Amino acid sequence: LHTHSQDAAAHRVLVADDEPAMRLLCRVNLPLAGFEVVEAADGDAALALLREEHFDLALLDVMMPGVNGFGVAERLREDGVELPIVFLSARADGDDIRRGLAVGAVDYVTKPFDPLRIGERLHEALRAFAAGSADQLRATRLRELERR
Amino acid sequence: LSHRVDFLAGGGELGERIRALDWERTPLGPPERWPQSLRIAVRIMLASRQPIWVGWGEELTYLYNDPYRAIVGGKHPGALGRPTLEVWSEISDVIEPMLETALSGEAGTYVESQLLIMERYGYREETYYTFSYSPIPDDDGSAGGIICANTDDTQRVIGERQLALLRELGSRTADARTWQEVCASAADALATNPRDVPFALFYVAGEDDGLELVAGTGIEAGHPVALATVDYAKALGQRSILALDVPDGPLPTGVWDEPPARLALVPLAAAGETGKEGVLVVGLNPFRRLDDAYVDFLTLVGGQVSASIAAAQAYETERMRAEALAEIDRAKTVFFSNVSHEFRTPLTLMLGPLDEVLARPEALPGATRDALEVARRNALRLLRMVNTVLDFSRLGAGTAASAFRPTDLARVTAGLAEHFRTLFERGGLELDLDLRPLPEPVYVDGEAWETIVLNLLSNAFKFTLAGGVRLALEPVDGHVRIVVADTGTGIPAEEVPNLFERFHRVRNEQARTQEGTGIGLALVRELVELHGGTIGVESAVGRGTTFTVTVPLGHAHLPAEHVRHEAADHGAGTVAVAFAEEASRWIGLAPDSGPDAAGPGASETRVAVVDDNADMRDYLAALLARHWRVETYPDGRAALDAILADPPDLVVTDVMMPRLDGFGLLTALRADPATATLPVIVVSARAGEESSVEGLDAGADDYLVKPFSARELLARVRVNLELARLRADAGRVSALEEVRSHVVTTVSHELRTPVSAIYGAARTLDRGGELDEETRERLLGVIAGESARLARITDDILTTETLATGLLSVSPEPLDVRDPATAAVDAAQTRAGDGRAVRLHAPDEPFTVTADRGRLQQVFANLLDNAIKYSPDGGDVELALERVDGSVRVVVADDGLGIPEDARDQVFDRFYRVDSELTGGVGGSGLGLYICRELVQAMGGSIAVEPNEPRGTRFVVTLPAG
Repeated sequence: LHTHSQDAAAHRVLVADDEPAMRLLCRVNLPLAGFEVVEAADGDAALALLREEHFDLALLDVMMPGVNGFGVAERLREDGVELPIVFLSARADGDDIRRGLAVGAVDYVTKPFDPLRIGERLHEALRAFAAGSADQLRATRLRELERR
Repeated sequence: LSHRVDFLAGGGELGERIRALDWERTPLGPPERWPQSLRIAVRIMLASRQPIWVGWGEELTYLYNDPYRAIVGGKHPGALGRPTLEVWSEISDVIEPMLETALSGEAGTYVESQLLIMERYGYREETYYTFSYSPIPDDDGSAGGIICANTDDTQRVIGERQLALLRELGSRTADARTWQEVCASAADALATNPRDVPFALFYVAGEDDGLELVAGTGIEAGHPVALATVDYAKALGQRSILALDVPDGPLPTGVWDEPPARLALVPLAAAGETGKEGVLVVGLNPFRRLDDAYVDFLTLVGGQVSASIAAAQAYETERMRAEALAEIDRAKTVFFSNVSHEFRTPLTLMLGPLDEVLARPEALPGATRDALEVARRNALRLLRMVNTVLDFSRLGAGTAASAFRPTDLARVTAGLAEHFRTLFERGGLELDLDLRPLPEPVYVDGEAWETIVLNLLSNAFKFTLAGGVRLALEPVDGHVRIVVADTGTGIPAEEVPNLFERFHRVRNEQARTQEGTGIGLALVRELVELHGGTIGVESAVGRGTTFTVTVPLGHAHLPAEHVRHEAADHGAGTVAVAFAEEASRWIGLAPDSGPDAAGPGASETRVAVVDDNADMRDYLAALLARHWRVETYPDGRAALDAILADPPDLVVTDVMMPRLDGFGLLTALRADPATATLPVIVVSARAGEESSVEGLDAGADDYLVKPFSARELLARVRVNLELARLRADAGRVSALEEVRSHVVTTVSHELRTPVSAIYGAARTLDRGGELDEETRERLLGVIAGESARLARITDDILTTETLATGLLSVSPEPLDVRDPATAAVDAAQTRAGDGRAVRLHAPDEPFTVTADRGRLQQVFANLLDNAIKYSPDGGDVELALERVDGSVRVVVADDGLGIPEDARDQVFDRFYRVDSELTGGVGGSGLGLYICRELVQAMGGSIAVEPNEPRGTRFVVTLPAG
């Protein structure tokens, strides 16, 4: 696993994705947006890291071998681990997004995504979580879904 | 007499007796001192014409009137002046409580039809009375006595219940269809009246003069009484009822408290010619005498049972007659069905060629000759069969006009056999003639003898597939004996008794043909019997059959008016030729088969023709060969094997064939997935709606009844081929639809990932100077690798579509497997990204196979992609080449998640995705492994999956080397 950061004050984010290309994109782009990136290649590895270390945010792929992204979110909640979760998934159906938000994600980003803007989405999620307004952000996303 | 006893005046005998009795010796004292109440009661009693008694005082001293004498019976006149309970001691248990009730209050008692077992005549007797006990007030007002009025119900009660039993008997036995059922039902009916019939046993005369117990009630079959059949036999044929004292030993009592003391033997008369006679043994009511009424009753019971037995037997006789008629009718139907089969086939064969000739007059010379040849052969055959049928019906009608002439039987028989010589040689059988010269000419009817010999020979030929037939003729003790012994398939023992029955056909699949009318052997037997001779058969399945005909020498046994003394002079005529010709058509059923040369203008479409009749087969083949490639088979078994090995486009099959008939073939074809929808047209001579329904039920696509025209056959074949093509097209379209729908719902997700990576990498590259050189190269690598992946998924979709439409093509060329393997490994390495290796393990030598280069690389790429996907936590992936037993093996191994054992069989199925919690939904397209299997198989190889050690999965592709 690799850790990348530009400055010590960076937000610590766990990126879990089984696709090396996706991890590469996060590894390159997120530090430029003020994040320190820790990578995991599947759900089990992600869960282990999230339970043992402190992270400001988890960016989880949904379709991963072992425990999938939804499963990771559910187990964290069972364990009482509280941190903002953002899903990053090729599954872009309304049902998938609803399910992701229902298992506790603050936001749900669908692939393909603009790697130059993903940092902004994560900062938005961090702010909403810190301000206790995660539900409003979720509601916004669901409204967008309805309009789609 | 004192005026004080005027109340005793009149009253008939009892009046006199009461007046005469010395009442001083009774508790009542002299009548002059009787209280007024008693006087009035006695006055009423004596004046009444109803049976009345009066009891008075502490002991209820008994007085009664004349009508009551019949009730007192044997107790009269001693009962007068005695205490009531002494008079009726045997029924005191019933009447004492009633008397007490009547004496204790103001109200009397009243009972109807009360059963009272009275003992009046020295035996205990069943009686029924309706009576009332009314208290008589004494002069002081208390109850001083009882006056009782009686009605005797005994006859009525018993008569009613006997009548009820007779009714029951009638209704229960009315539906019985056999005498056994009658007896059983009658026993059930008798059980409803256990008072008159405490027990009963039905015996029927058996075969050996003994009696057989067939039913009973109220007593067990093993009881000594039930076994005393010898005693009962004397009642057989009697007109009246006999009574017997019962033997010692305990007997069932029925509803009584005493067992019967006597038995009545009621004869059951035989009715009709086949009637059964028997005896009904009845245990008699212990409380009734066997008086006229009882005898009448039992006689009625016996008569009713006899009548029911007779009715049941009449019914049974009628039923058997109806069954026999039905059997004859069935045999007739079978016969006509078979005969029509026999007639229709040659009819088709005669009409067909004519059709042909008329349709193409310009082709007359050659075609005419052939067609006429066929027509001639089948005309001969028809002639023979018509002859047989006519002979037979003549025999049946008793109008056989025979002429028995002295005949040199050895010479004539040899002449007949010679017609079969060539036939046997062609059929690969020995024909061993052992015809000894006979000491004298034998009187035979020439035509009949011919029929006997020819039928036996042709029969032997039909059922003998290997070995030979021996025909022997020898003199034996004033007789001549002809023996036809074959080494054929034999006749099952259960068939032998029916062998010479008319219309009986031995079902034997090990025959040269299923043709036959079922009258040949019956005809032979009847003709032999016409000569005063006998015919016998010995047979062992698998070893052969021997027919032996014995005919007396001389002519004394023959009807003189049919005997001619001029010597016969007849050579074997057309009949022998016809027999041999027909049998010759059975040859060639075995050897000839398989694809025939296609006629000019024939397409690639293949039609299989299955018929055991060689003429029919040739005819159908010639017709069809003008349009399609034709393959012919002599029976269902041969056809089935060939069709399953390489299915044609359509099958035309006969129904009746040896080894496996047309329906059997059809059923077998429908059971195999490869031929389940293969169009099959059934051709049969069996006309009639049931046959075609049977054929269509069995799954035939079409049904054609002989005779049919050439045009009709061609049209049906063409239509069914067209329908099959449309069905196949529809199948392809639906498979294609399935693929497309899968692509839309599932594979489109799969496309998102590489598209996302390419887009993301391209956007990231826009950062320009923010990125270092290494990162830029990695991003470009992502674009290259994911583009290749995108191309591969697209390829997979196209390949799957191609497979679905059945249009997959591979272009095999000799190549070194290392080339596509290296290319695939390189591409996979790019995609696997950092930190994990995709290794190629190949000895430094060429691995030459003949395969499609691009397809092979597609297979390897899919397997590697799969391995990378299912070993996500950085394990290595290896592609290894090895050589095993003339094959090249390509093993793609990972140490990833592995595949659950129960899923291994399915991973190569189209659209199968290991989509479970284990894989977190990384299902992939569901196309890759399916394509791998299809492509590998198309290139003559095979693919398997097995667990890797210590974990992970190995896919093993085996390709033939060279």
